[in-house]
Amino acid sequence: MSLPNQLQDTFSPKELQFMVENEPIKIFPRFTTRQRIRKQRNDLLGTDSHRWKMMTMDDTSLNNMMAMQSTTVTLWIALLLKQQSKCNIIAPEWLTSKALDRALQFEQTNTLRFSPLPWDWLIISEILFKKAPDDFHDRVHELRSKIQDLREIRQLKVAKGIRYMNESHLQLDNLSLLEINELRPFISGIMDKLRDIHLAAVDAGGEDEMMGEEDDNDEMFNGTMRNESSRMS
Amino acid sequence: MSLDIDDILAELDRDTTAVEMSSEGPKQPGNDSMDILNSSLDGTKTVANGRSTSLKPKIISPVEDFNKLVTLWKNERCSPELLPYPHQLMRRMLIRIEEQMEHLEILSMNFFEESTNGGSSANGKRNSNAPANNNKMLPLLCMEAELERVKFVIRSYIRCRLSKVDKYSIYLRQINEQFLTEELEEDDMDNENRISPLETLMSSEEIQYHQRHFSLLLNLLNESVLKYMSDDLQAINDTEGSVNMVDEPDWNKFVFVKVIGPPTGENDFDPLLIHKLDPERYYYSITIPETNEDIELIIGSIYIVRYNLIKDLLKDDKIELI
Repeated sequence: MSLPNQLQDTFSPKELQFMVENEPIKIFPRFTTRQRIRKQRNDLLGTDSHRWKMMTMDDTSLNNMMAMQSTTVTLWIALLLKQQSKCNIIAPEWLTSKALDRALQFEQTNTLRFSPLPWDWLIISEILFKKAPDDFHDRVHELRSKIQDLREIRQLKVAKGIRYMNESHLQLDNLSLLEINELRPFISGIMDKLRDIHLAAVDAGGEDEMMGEEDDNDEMFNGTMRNESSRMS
Repeated sequence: MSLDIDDILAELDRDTTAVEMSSEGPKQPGNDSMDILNSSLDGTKTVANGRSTSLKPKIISPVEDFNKLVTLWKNERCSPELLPYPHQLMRRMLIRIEEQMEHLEILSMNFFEESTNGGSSANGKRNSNAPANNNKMLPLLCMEAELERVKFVIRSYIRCRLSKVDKYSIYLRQINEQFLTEELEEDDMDNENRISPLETLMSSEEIQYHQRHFSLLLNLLNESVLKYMSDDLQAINDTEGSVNMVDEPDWNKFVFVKVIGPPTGENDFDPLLIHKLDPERYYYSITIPETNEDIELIIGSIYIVRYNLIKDLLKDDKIELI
């Protein structure tokens, strides 16, 4: 009741975006905040009225912005400034045509591994394409189609990986936040069921002769799974 | 401290930002008077700083607190059980929110005064100041947005906790009863020092909520069904039958975890952490009891494992739920 049903199992995409917006990003501010310190002294205001006093981040970089000198701020601040056309966002290094090509290459050659993209790559690229399309050096539609390619190839791998699900555990390195989030209800649900089935099988087997056979099968299942999962990572 | 930095920055500005300097031209000459102003201003500023630092002990930084809160929020959302309530952290956050709200109120009042004063005085000056005013509004805008963001996390966190309090109402009640009976048995063994499990688990408001919710629930069940049943069927916490009546958290639920390592970052000082050289890796070893299967939780990796196995690691902040 206090937490809507659709939020019980996993995060909503908006909540994910919220998390990602707390990450740092580089920008070129179009205005200077250093200046203000002196200005403020001059006009005798005597309060901190023009200073940034933040409670969730280090505000020294915000108080020391210089026009056209790159600085690092929190993403949501960058977006807010961008909206007021007060800054240009510097696209992260992995979000360039070249880097994406490299990642695509990696995905294609390593069929059982995920390329080491940042954990928030899908969300960041989506946000930046939407909010700051003019800040890219490459053409946005090219980048967008490359991101889409990456997403599809990775989705395919995830779909293939689903058959290694088991009642014990699974290792999923380099899987990003959004990808985990969309898998979460499905995978945890299925694995919970597998666990119950496994328990029931063990219980039912009891001291029966079946038990031995059961265990062998199980061993094999676990064995193959472990190999696969380590390769998948 | 702030005094020195400001002065250095002011020095820097003089050299580098020529463009904005020129607009400042007329105010520039009175250097001496400016210095006097500076000193008086800095005096008040250090006082303000002193106060704020006394409120927030040095080691605890607001930034870390916020990050911790976000982590706690994520953990709470992903874990099947109700996690302990961060009493200290929450208190600090709430104090900070209050302070910031006051600060913002003062700021926006200043802006209001400024804009009305500016409108009545010389019009030409006001026009030239218009963009600067807009720049002045920016910090206010951001600070307000930030406040809303912090409030959102706290709200979502509390909502999630309340939904769990609802769900495990009877279970939580049982924990408390167990504790109380134990306490009675132990009698005068430093009773006062013992804290009930509910008090570490929940805030006082949550405990209050839990009690009221529980009595309402009990009342409803009694009035609608139970009072028409025979006495031996009236229990709501019967664990003897085929199905346990008390909803316990699903301890073996599969959760997604990211292995962080010891919070201090000193891998070699964590007794639980196993260090293998070939290939070089640090990991926690956990064992699935039924199959005796060992799992290596390598730092920096993502796993799907049963909640029960990683519960203790989670409480020590060595892993995060994602």
